[in-house]
Amino acid sequence: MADTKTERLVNLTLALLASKRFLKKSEILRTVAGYEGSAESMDRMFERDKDDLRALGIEIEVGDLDAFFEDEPGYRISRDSYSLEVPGLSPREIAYLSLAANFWKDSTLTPAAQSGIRKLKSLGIPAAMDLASTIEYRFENPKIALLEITEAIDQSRQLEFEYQSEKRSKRRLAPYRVLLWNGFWYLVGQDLEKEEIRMFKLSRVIGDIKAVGKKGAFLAPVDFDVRTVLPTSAKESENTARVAIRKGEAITLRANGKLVSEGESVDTYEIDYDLITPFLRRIIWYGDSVEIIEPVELRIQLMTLISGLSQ
Amino acid sequence: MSESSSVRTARALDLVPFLLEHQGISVEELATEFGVSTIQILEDLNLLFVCGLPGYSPLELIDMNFEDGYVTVSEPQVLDKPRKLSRPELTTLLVSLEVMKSLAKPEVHDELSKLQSKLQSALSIKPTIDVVVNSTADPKLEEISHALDKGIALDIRYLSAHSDKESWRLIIPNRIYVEGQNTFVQAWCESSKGERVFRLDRILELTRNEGAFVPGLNRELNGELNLEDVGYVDGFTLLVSPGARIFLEENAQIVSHQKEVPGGVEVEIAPIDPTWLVRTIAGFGAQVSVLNPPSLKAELANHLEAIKLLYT
Repeated sequence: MADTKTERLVNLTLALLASKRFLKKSEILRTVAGYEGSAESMDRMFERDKDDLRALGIEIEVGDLDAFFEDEPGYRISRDSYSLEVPGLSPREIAYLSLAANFWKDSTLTPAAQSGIRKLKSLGIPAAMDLASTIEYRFENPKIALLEITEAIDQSRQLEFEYQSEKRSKRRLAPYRVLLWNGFWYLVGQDLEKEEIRMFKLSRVIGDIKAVGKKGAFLAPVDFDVRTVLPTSAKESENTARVAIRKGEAITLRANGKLVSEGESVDTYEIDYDLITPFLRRIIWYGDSVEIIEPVELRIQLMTLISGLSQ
Repeated sequence: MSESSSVRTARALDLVPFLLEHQGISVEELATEFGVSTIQILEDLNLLFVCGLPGYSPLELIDMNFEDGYVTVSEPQVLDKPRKLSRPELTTLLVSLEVMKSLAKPEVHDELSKLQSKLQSALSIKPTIDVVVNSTADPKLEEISHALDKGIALDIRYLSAHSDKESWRLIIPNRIYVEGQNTFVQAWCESSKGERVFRLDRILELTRNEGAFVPGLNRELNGELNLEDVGYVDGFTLLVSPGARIFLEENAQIVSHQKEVPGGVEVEIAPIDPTWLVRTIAGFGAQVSVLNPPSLKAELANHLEAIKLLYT
């Protein structure tokens, strides 16, 4: 039954934590409440309990060097490794952390944020009350278990997943970072087939992301900076189009262009752009208020797009 | 399915140090704090009540009182300190701070960086999640935050992308949020007598209007955004092919339903302004088509026809 087991795990933790010296297994099985049955089944029980506590992140030290124990190993949990200590944490910082933990509403990160902040609130530092955040940040809720990905990054394990871009394909990746960029989640790493660093939008991953192969399968660059792989929006636009804008219209477009000449019914502007398709979409948005004059190829591409011939 | 003994053990171990710092907390509050039912919390407390150190005499047990519905711990035994943060907990908190940092003023930004390194060095972990927000600091933001704090009205000159028109409006900001690359201000707009959303970079000019008296103002500071309040119109169904996924990603907020169908995704969408919707989907050519209503289909055809005339 889960209850007696929970009780035993709590008692075991307390006993190991309370002891300054290593406790022998036989001692534990005899004195800690909850160990019952044959010697063999108690043994198995104890082994499983140790695994369970370790899985919770509790470090159980094993000491077998002491001659006193002969062949029997001893166990204990050191208070230093068990307890949370963040030296010099201020009330203001606790308040920041509480605010930060509330960023994750109903996401896969919520439970970890909540349990983390509870532990910090148990440190006995009062939170400053005068902090409030006036700005909210809205982002895509990650549907994929981000923490499993971060674990793979920590352990240098490869990831495998199916990805929808132009077409669906299976990808294998040496993951370097998870990235929240302008409200969307990405996974960044070395694409093992393409042999270059790629970004994958997590919303385009189909199904689950699976960790595959051994730990320590690759070496991520030590000083990897994710900003170096982002498409820069700040760079100078390479292309310029000349457009005619009807008098008094497309005010938002005018604000981003350079006036070349004023005419009777239309004004001519020069507008810089990076990528063709998004630029065409922008122009089409204004309907017949804006006409592309040059380059001619762009006129043709626009026609192709709205005629529904492009795919 | 009942929860595992590991989950319960973790909670039990975390309960005691939490209670030590929150003596006298009500059972209900405690349950909310730990995200479980009050029945579950009472079971946890009953379990802890019989746990303790080998010997298990009354002096060696965890001692607490919760009979009157308020919990106090008188003897925590060795559970007087919270457990170390797990890797997922720390990772999550670090990325939360990173998000905060991306929006913070320079002074706060520094404080948050210091806090991050404090946590990292105390727990020796390297971050695995990065946050990059491209929205740039706008001096107008400070003025608007101030107005929001104090409930001050603002006169703004606004360039509407939905209608491609410029106008002066009297607004009272309700909330500021960053979404994608842009910062938005949700406000009561006295000029249009309703809640409206304004994009910060399209606010061309603003002045405080401290004398403004806005009657019958109903501000809900922390309420969820109510679609009706902002004047969204629904009843539009589109077919979006896989090549136009970006349309869905960029407009996720106004998509109410979507389902996979042959040829793409069928979505129901509720834009603020149908004309804006027509203009936007026109740019996707054949990759987005209107299924309903016919009036929208016709408007789209007209929009495209007008453009074709320019180029023929």
